Amino acid sequence: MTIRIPNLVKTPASLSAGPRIDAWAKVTGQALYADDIRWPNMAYGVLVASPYPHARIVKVDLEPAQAMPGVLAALAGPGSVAPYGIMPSTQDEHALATDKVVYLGEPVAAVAATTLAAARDAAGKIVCEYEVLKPVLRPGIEKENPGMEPVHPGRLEGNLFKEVDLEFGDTAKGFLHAYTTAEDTFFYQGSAHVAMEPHAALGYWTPEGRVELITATQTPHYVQRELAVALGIESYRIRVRASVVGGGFGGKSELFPHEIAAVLLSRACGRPVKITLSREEVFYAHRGRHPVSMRVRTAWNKDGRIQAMDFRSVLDGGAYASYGLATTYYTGALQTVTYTIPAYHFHGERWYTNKPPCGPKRGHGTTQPRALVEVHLDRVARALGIDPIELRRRNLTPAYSVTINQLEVGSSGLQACLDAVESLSNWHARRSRPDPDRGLGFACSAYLSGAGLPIYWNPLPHSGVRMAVNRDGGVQVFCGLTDIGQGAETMLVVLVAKALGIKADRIRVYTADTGTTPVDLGSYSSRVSMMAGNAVLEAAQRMRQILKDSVCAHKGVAQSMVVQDGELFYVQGDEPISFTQAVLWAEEDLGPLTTFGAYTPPKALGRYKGAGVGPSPAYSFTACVADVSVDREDGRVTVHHLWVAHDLGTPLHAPSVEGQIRGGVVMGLGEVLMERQAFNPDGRHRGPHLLGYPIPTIRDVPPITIAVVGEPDPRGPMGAKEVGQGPLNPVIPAVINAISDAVGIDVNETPVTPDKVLRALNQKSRRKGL
Amino acid sequence: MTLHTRLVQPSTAEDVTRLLGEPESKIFGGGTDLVPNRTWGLDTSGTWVQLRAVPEATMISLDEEGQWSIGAAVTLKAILEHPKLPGLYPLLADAIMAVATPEIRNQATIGGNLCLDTRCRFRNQPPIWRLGLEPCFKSGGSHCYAAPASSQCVAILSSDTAPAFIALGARLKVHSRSNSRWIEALELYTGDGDRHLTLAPGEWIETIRLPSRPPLGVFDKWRIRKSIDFPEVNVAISVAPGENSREMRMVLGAVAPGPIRLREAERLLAQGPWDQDRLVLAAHTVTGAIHPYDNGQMGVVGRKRAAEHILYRALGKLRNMMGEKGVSA
Repeated sequence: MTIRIPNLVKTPASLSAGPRIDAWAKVTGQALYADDIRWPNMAYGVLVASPYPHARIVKVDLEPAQAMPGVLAALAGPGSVAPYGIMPSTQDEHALATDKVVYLGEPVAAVAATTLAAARDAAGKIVCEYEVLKPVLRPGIEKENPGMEPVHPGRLEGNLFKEVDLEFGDTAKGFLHAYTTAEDTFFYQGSAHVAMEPHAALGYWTPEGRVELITATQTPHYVQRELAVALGIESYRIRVRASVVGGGFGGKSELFPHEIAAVLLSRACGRPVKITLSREEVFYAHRGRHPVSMRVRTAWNKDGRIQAMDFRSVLDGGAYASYGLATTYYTGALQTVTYTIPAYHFHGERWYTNKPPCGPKRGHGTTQPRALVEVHLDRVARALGIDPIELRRRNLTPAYSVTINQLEVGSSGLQACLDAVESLSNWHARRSRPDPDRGLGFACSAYLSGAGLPIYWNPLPHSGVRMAVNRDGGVQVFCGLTDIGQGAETMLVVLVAKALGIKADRIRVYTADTGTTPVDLGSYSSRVSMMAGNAVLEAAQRMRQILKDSVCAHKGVAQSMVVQDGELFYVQGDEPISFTQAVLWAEEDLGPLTTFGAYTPPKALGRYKGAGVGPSPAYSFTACVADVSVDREDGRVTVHHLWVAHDLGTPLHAPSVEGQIRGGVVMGLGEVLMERQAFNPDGRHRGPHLLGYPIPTIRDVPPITIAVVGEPDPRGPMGAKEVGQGPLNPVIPAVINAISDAVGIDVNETPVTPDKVLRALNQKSRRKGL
Repeated sequence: MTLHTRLVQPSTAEDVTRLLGEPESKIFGGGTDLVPNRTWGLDTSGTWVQLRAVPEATMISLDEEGQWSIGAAVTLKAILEHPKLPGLYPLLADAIMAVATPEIRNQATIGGNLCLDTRCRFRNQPPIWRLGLEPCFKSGGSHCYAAPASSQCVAILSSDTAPAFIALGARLKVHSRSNSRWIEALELYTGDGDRHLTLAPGEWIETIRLPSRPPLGVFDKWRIRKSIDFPEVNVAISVAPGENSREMRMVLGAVAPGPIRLREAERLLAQGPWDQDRLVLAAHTVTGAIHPYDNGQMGVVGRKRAAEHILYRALGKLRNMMGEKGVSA
């Protein structure tokens, strides 16, 4: 890592600190993002969006658009495609709305033309008539409005999308025998990913009846599968390639209407069609963080140890399922991974509403409950008179243990994370001598290094790698993984270089193409380093053995007589043999050199319904301390410093690790202080643009001290675990706890805007007055 | 429909006036506000008239009476980098530094910032957002979403330099078909968010003239983030030391369709020494002087508190400056 504090924190050495392999292409503008791609004869597609959050489609008249100059094709919803969805059991979407629109911005029609301007003009000519319906804007609102039409009529459960109830151990008994109990409620506001690159896709239905799709996606394999369902054609006829992707954060993890529309328009007009979403359309395509209302109850013994936890979450899912089934379970899954909870009850509900569909965002479904749990623990610590970090320490889930909900926790550096931020922030000295209106807050968290189960059930590997070594001495790595900016391709190069003992510049990677690369499930759930990493190591080890075998054969010596050091093979009593020579001998013996590697996560322990959400080969751990001041006059919260310690086992590539930690922390800062995917009472987004939806600018980012701690994980590739998502989670509660420490207010809602701080300060002074 | 806007660059004031007389024509400064508005379909001008070829509008000059003039087409960056102006008028430099980001300040003009179109959370939204909505006052309708009881548009003037120029006592040279005239900076604004400038069709601002004896002054701004954001509220205060009495100007911006002169606070501060209590009282008058609506980023209560807060902070800063300069408070 670039930040080392050797005297205070033990930092594991990183495998590499060189530049990322995509750095030059990106900084020189050579990298091709989806919108940069132009094919011969390409047409431009534009979507027509619903102006209402909830309405019946009375009529869509395409004719005026079709008559416009330059127009090649126009489409509307009915009859065009089959329903689809990322989770096989909840396929409720259509590329273009069929009989109803269920959120403002939902695509209703699409048009392709020879120029973008012509396509826009034509889109404006399409006549859509609606019968406007009352929008369902929050879970349970229909109870106050009998007769209100549900988002998706005909479901027995009405707007209730999913209800889950899980109990592990005897929670009632835990509360009955408790020394003390505590309860808190919290509303975590929804937020958007705000990737720098808006979604874009180029679709081509070839004359032979094949489909080419180049798109800004995190999951080419899932997009290929979903597209096959939506189009009703065989998967093998579809080739999906991810372009260079300008950020995903979960927002590009499934098939989107514009991707299908590009293909359908292409089928209709015979040309490749590109569709690029506007920033406004990206806010409506959404799939961002669910707004969640939560309640937690805990039972404690005299020593400050948790006896039982009851956790309830109500998710506002928006108009479609997306990953919502998994999200619902995730809001209850990882509470036990940080703390030993002997008895645990979880109840979760997800509701349909007439808002853009929510889905996975960095920290998928674990960010919201983590915020409440950590805020709650701080208040319990205060009530019990125990230091907040000490209270956590008494409850940590031990390494190599099994939680009450059957999650297998492997290596854990959580204790080391706590120790690191405690000492780096000078916690005890500062907490005992606080400046006025300034406070310190602490929180910790855990995250998966890859989901243990795939999105659709199958027994196949989660990641596959094919490796070739050519007679030029170059190594080619083919893997379906998708580099969305996190450095996944660099990760492959670092591991291959290390495993084969060669220079990184021998290696080229070919990724994210269902036409040429073995399947990797995609860049989600922080799974890529763990799974593609292990797969590529297997392929590399096999290749290394092949090369060694050939050296032995050509020299007529036993395996034990050959030692490889870097790019040279040493045979006792002989001249060293170069890597390229070894490759030539091997090709002479075997033909073109190819190996493969694959990774399948270990089987999950749980056998209950919902046990598929939560298991992971390994968990990362994070702790954070925030130094915050609150201005009592205008309610402004200023974050002065953040200390973050993260356990990711072995860091594979120091700059990427640091980038992921900083990025996650800043994203968390935005969520706690300013971001809100909120809606006006009429169902309109508060501001679907970058002024109306503020995210932190670089000037809003305080100094961040990073410590990387922990031990190599036995299951991780060369000991590595995840870093892409975990570091976001503790930032939100750490800041809220610091606000509480600074001015003594309890904040139960994000984002913590000045308005809310002023209200809380007001209430506090009124309470005092009484 | 895709708009086809003509961009013209006349080289004389007369041609500017003539072109502005055409329907749907507008002065185009740096385009940092007009272009995004056009992209969203909020600006439908047929002709954009640039001033960059009009000498008077592009110069910073000093006349014989020691008065500085800034052409309307001068960029914010050029003012900040001028060898004299930032030192002479730090209040103005602070206000300009508070505008948006360096990239925008490189391009945006001072005239453009003064004449900045008003903004509202219910109008300055992208195209799909506005589709199913009945037009508001500013969009040609007869309704206000921010203030349903209001008989006129309450969109906000978000200019950071407008309060500064008013506090400085700047005068604006307005060109029209028949002649040119000078107005006080405050006279530029109507108070109606829809037609927020007092300029008649064909009229335009050529130069801004600053007083020869710069008053002491401070500028402050409250915004959500530390960069790029428009103000939720801003304030400019100046004190011009006189023989017997001092002339004071307190101006609040971004809470209404035009800047607001805080006369009651000015009176209060003129009545006695600037002790803590008086500053608190003066700042508190703002809660009665402004009536913000929920059309900014922050809520109404928050904006009022922020206004009071930055006003108090600015007054404290000004008192310290006066102390340093030996001006009696």
